[in-house]
Amino acid sequence: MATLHRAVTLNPPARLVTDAHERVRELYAPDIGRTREELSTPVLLLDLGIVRANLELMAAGMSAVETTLRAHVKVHKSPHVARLQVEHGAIGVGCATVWEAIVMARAGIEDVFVINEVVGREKTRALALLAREAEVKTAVDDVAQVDALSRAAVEADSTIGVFIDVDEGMHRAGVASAEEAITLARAIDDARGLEFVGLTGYEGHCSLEFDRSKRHDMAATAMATLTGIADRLAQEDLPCRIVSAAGTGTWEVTSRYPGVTEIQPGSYATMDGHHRQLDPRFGWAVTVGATVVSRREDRVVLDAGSKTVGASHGVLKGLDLEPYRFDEEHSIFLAGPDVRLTTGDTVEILCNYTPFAISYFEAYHVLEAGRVVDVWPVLPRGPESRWLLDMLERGE
Amino acid sequence: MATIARPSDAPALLLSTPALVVDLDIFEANVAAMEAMLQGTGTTVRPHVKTHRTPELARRQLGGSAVGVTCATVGEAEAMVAAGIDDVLLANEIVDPRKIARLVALADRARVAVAADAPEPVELLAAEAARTGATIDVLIDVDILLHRCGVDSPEAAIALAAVVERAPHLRLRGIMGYEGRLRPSEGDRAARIVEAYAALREVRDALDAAGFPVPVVSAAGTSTLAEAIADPAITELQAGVYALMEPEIVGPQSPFQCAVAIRGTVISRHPDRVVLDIGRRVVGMEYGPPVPIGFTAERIAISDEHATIDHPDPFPKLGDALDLAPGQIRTTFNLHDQVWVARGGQLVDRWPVSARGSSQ
Repeated sequence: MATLHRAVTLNPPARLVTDAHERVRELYAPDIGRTREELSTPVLLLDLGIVRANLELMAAGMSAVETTLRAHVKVHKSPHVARLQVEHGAIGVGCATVWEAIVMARAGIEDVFVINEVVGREKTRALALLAREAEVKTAVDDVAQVDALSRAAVEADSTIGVFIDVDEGMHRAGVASAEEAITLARAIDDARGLEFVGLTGYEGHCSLEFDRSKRHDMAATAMATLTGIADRLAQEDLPCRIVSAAGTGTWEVTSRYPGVTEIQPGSYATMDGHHRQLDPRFGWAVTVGATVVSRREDRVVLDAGSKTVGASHGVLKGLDLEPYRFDEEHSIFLAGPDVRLTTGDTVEILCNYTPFAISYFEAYHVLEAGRVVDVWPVLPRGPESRWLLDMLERGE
Repeated sequence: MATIARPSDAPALLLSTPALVVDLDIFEANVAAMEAMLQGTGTTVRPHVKTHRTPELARRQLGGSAVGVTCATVGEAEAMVAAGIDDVLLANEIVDPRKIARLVALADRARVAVAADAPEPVELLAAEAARTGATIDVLIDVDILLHRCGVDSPEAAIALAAVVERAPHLRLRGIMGYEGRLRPSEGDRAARIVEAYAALREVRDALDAAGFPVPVVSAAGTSTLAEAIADPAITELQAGVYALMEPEIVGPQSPFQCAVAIRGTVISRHPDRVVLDIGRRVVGMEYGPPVPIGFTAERIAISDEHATIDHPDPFPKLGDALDLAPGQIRTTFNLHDQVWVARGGQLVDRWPVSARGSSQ
C-alpha cells in the first residue's frame, strides 16, 4: 500500500451499518463459503481482490501528487467499500444525496461531502442534523440554497461547509461565471451556520470522450475555468480552501492540474465497461452472476436482464459470445454447439455501467479466492430514505 | 414532446423526492377498460405483476376476467402469495433446484403453474412435487417470435408433454408463447402477430392429435391485446403494462392511460434550463427518456442522479416539484421501495413495492 498523505480517522461503524450488515448476512447465510458457481442467481458479485488492487493503484497514483483523494460512493453505495477507500488514502467521501452522507458518516467516515445541490426542507434538515456529528459539506449554485442551508444549520446549531458548484462545461448544475461565484461566496461568508470551503466541479462531459489525449485537453480546459474562478475569488479576498473536481476518466490529468487540491472519482473501485474504456488499468471488480436457463441450438438464455444488469447491459466474463438481446429478466448470447454451455451452468456478466446494476440489488456477495467470504449491504438503496431523517430526529 | 395529464397536484412537501406516484383513478379506469374489452369474449387475463412488483396493485387487478397473476420470478410469486393471492403462473423457465423447491412450497397456499421448455427441469419439478405431495401445473413454453426461451417445434412440445403427463404430481395445463412488444409503428406488425399465433395453434393442434389436449393457450402483452382477443385460439392473456401504461404505447385510440409519475424537485435553475433530482438511478430508460407531465420541454437529458430540462414551460422556481412519466415502468418500479398513491388529486397512501429486487 502506498503512503498516505495524512492519517485519517476511521471510526467504528455505528448500528445503522452493523445492523444492515447483520441483516443481509443472515438472509444469505447459507451462501457464505460457497463458490460463485453454487450461488442462486441473479446475484451481485464483488471480487475483493480486484477492489483492493484498484484502491492500491489509485493510492500509488496519488502518492506522487499533493492533491488529495475524495472517494465518490454513489456508484457502489457500500459503507464497506467506502471504508476500504479511506483505508487506502481517501480523506473522505463524496455522495450524491444526503441519505448516502448519513450512511457514510455512520460507517465511521468523518468527512462527508454531498456533491450536489440539496433542496427541500427535509434534506437540508437532515444535512444540518448530520453536521452535529460529522464534518458535513455540500454544494450550491443559487443564493436561495444558501439561505435554506443557513436556516437549517442555525436551527440545528451546527455548521455546514459549503462549496460553490461550477459548471465546467457539462451544462447541468453549477454557476458559469466568476461574478456569480463571487456573489455566492459573499452570501455564504455572511450566512450564519455556514462556512465557505471552496469550489467543486465535475467535468462529466470529458468522460464521454474515449480518446485519451482529446479527453485530457478537454479536462484541462475545464480546469482552467474552475481554477480561473478560484483565482478571481482569491483576488476578492474569498480564498478557496479546497478546489475539487474529476471523475475516473480524468483523475490523473485533473489531479496534476495546478490549483486543483482534491479529486472526487468513484468508479475506479468497482469499474465497468464504460470506465475501462477510459482507464483500463483498473480491474472489473463487480459482476452479475447468472445461470443458463434455456439452451437452444444457436444461443443461451440467461436469467439476468435489464432488471438486474441495468439498461446498459454487458458482456460475459471469460467467454467471447456476441450479445443477441437484453430483455427484462433475460439476456441472450449467440452460442453455437461448439460453446460448452448447458442449462444450469453459471456465468458472470460484466456490466457496461455498474451503477445501474447496483441499484437493483440489496447486497453484494463478496468473493475472495473464488468463495463467498461475506455479504455486504447496498445502503442506502433509496430513493425513499426519509427514515434516515427520522433516525437523526430521534437522536439515535 | 407530448404532454399528458398531471396525475396529482398534491403538495410536494408531503413527500421527499424523487418519489414514485401512481394515480389510482387512472389505474382503476385502466383495469375497468381491460374488463370491458374481455367481457363476453371468454378470454381471461392473468395480469403480469413483474410490471410493478406491488401486491397492493396486483390485488386490485383481480376479479371478473382476471383469474390470477403472472410472475417472472419465484421471488415475485412468493411476494404475491404472501399477500394472499392464490393463483400464480410463473411464465418463465426455472432450472435451479432451490428455486424449484421454493416454487413448489407455494402450492400449499396457491394454485401454481410454471412454464417449461426442456425435460430436465420438468423432472426436477416432478420429483419435488412428489416429495411434498403438491400438484403443479405446467405450461409448455413455445418460441413463437422472440427467439428467447421456448420449444421450437411441435415434436419437441409433444416430447415434453409426455414427460409432464408421466409425472403423477404434474398436470399439463396448456401452452404459452410471448410475441414481444410490437409497436403500432412496426411495419410488419400484423404479419408477425399472425405468424406467432399460427405457431401456437400448430403446437396446440399437434398436442391434441398426439393425445395431449390443452385447455389453456396463453400469450400476448399490452401491445397486442386486440389481436389476441380477436384470435379464438388464445384463451388467456399475460398483459401487465395496461394497468399503468408507458408513453411509448399510449396511442390516440388507446383505452389505457399513463398512471405513473416520478416526482422530482428543481434543485438548480438557470436561464435556459432547470435540473431535477431525477436520474437513471430512479427511472427506467429502456423505452426512452421520461415524458413531462403538465409542462413542455425542448429536451430532457438524464444522467445518473439528474434530469436536465431545457426550456421548460411553464418555467418553475427552485424547489418546485415536477412530474415525469417514466418510459419504462417495470424497471422504474424495481428501483423504488414504495409507491405513493394519489386519488382525486390527493396523496392518500403509500404501498410497498414488496417484490423490489426479487429477481431470484
